[in-house]
Amino acid sequence: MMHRVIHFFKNLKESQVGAGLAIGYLLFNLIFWAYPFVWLIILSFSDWRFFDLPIFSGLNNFFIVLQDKEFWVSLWNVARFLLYYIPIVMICSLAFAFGLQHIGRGKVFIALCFLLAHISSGVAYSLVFSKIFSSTGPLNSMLFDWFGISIPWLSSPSMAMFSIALVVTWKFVGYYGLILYSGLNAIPFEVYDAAKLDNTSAITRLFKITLPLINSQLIMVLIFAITVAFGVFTEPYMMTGGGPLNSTNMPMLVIYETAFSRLQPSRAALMAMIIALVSYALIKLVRRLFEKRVEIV
Amino acid sequence: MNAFNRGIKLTFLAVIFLLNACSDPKYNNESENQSIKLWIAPNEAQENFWKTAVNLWNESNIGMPVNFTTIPATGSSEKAILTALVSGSAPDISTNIFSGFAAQLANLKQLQELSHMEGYQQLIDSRHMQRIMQDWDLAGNKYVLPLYSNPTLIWWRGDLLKKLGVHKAPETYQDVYELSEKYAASENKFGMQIIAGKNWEDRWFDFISYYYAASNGAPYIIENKTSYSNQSGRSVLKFIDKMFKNNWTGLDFDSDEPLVTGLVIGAVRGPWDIEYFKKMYPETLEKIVIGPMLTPEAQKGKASTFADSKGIVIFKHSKIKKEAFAFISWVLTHPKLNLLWLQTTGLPPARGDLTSNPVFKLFYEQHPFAKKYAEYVEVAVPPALIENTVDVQKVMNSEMIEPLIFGRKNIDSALIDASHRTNQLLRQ
Amino acid sequence: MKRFRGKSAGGWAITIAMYGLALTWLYPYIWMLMASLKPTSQVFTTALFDGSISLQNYQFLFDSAEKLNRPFLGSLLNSFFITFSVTGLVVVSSAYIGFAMAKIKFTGRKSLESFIIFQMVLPTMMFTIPLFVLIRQLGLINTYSAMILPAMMSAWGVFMMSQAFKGTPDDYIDAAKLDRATLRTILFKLMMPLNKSIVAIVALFTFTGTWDNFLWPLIVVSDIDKMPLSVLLATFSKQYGVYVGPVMAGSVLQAFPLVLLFIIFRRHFLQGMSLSLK
Repeated sequence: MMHRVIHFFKNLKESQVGAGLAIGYLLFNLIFWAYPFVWLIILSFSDWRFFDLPIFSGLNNFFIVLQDKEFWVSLWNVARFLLYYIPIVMICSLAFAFGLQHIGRGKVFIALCFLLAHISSGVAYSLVFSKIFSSTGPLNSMLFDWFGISIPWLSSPSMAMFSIALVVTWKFVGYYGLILYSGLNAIPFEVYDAAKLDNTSAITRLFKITLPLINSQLIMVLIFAITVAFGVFTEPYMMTGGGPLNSTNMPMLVIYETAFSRLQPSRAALMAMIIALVSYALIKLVRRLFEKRVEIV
Repeated sequence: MNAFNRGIKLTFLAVIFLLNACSDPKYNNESENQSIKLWIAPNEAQENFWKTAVNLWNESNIGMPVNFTTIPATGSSEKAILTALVSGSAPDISTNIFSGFAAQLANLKQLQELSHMEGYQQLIDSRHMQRIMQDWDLAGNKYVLPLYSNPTLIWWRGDLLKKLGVHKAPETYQDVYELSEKYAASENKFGMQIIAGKNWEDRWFDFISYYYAASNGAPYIIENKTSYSNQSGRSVLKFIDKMFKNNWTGLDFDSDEPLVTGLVIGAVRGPWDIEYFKKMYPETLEKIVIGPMLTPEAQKGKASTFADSKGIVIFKHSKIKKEAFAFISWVLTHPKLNLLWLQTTGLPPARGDLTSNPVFKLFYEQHPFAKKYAEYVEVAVPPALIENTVDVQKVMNSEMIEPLIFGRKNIDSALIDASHRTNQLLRQ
Repeated sequence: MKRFRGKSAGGWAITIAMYGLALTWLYPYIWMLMASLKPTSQVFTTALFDGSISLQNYQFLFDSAEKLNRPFLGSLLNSFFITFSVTGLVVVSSAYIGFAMAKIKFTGRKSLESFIIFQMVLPTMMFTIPLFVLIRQLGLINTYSAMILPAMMSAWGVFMMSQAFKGTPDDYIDAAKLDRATLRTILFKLMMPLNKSIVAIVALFTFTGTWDNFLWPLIVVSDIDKMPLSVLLATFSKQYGVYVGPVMAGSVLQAFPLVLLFIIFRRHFLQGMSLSLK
């Protein structure tokens, strides 16, 4: 029997194997993804409050969500978050990747230090950072001792989002940096040697050679960063509660609260769908604009 | 195409196989119906109380045995209860239900109406709860029995007051202004902590507490409309505004307990803080003087305040409601257990005879702080019994308190905007 | 690597800066560890390495665990069982499907890729309730499979693997095919060893995510004997929130296996990135 199965697989055409694997994946997702997803769509068009059956309510949820100021503010906050987060995390990860390339001894230690941030428990580090950032916390007392200033990291509406972006950066730099690093390592030396012969400056080398050659890793990091932005939850939940002045209120917080505090899961479902569509569109756009297929021989 | 079909079949079989291999055949536990399932607040002191109470009940064989666990909450206990209700794994009884959540669950038909249960009237009479229950009335029905009622009062550092030449806890806004002016003159000090925190529930301990004191306990929501946009509301905002404008209070005190460090002289605290301070900052506790909620003008009699009150409910899906209610009545009317509650948790039981009942006399003689709180139970008003608690208090935050603090709105427009936005939401 | 051996002043500056940053990155961890060793009243009032250091907070943690009948050891084993199962399943399934997407041409591949990206960007939180309904319908409440099955394939894992596999030259695969290698051989003997770093990343992060997840187990499991450690610790943190010391001790305990595992397997994890280990 086993032999026949193996034989059977050996004789399959490659495309059939591929499709078979794809179907396996789809089948799994039919059960554990599509079924709940259909439910989600049903919920968006109905009135459901956890108990009883959903009652069809047409576009009622749309009108309510459309008027929900908090939800739209939270979507705008994603844009503000991205504005801080993308440049900071991109530059830091690149710097980390380049820095790591220049280190001989202790590479492992340094990579470990940065990656530890990524595997720590969200609740724990948010708690730690809210203490570190507080007005009398260690960071401010250090700033005060050195420069005589103290920064309202989390209590000012204009700073809070920046601080959250910093914490999220802290978490992800090691991870993104290593992705970029693996890309950098794949670049053959000869490419640089040739460029050096042509006397190109370091900046030109960076923008003309290095960055295009790690394009696929950069896109990967960019996509991850965008998904993170739409999914931020634990950090604002623990550190600012979405405030001050709603400046760190993120969609996930609004959705969570709508579902589990306001007990309006069908409205929350609709919000989740809108968020999903917006983030999906943004990622599509990014890929279309920046993705290149570079074949490295 | 044949190959495809076989591929699908194989994958499908593999999934089914895994499903079967991993599933546990004995997940069905029907035998558990022999006991009353009780969920209690995830809190050490309350857990100790229920342990004793439940043991006593089970040993004396008065009714169906009770099995208790703490609410398995990781975020909020409301969320945990809700999930359990949706999944059908909820207990028969749960404690730790606050007004807004009770209103939501009642509207979703998840709670048992209690006033027609056998023994309800005796229970109310024995605890002198007639007046208290008026605050827990939802369209003529009673779904929750409040277990405790925590008035909010203001703690002052007695030693610091003395240094400033003040010998009595401040009672009016003017008292605080004068105090703050003197105290905040020294570097990096504030007069008092006013804003309790960033979350919607923190509004209970600032705006709503002050509003109740200023308005003599008038409700802030009447018939699904705000009622705080009035003279009392205005005077509270004026107080907050003045304190912030003069830098007599700050926003973010969360890294230290400001009363301990002397960053502030006064702050709103509840009776649960007595135990906490006793454990963490016993030296500070000795210096504390407890005063009433502040009012705009000097007042005759006790100033009203807010009551952080939580209650016990029976869920509608329970098949043993009668037995469950018998257990609740037994616990709530048992004199020794009432005393034990007070001794273990320090929270004033929600009953009308706290200061007059001889059962509690000795305890209160020995615990002056707890006594102070007990005295205010009669003038402490619980939050509005409405479904939209979260929305109402988030709007207070985002349209009123925060814009005021950050200087984006003046007092009147803050009040009007908040009131307008809340009414808009309540209409939905 | 050789070209960086002879270090210039700039090279040294970079090295020193990197070490400095690495320590900065560790600071929150150190703070957490130190806070877990101090009495709560000293957490904010003493300098980082000051204060009375003791294991009291850990004692408190285990005492209360004992008193409240919380089987820490059992939940630790549960966590390991669940996490290892999920990680194994995700790595294998992601490798197969990722390979199909990267290196096999079949109809619908493009749409599958879009679908996977769509899945990745969708907020998973909203699936909680409908997914729960499904688990109930399958009769899997209070089973390990409720925690394992829905997580056994991961869009993110597939995406990572396929992105990595795309970078492997086709020549290698063609060569293997000439040797009549099966799909399994190609994957386990060629693709995965060549892309060790990504395999390690997928494995480690799946492990971390599963280990840290508490919302889902909390919902589908009420049987204390099947609860993972994260749930026990999360309830504990909630319960004793004002006691910063013990909560930090709990956080340290929760992070400890992850850190340990990470350190043990760092070779496999970093070797893939062609780091020279000394």
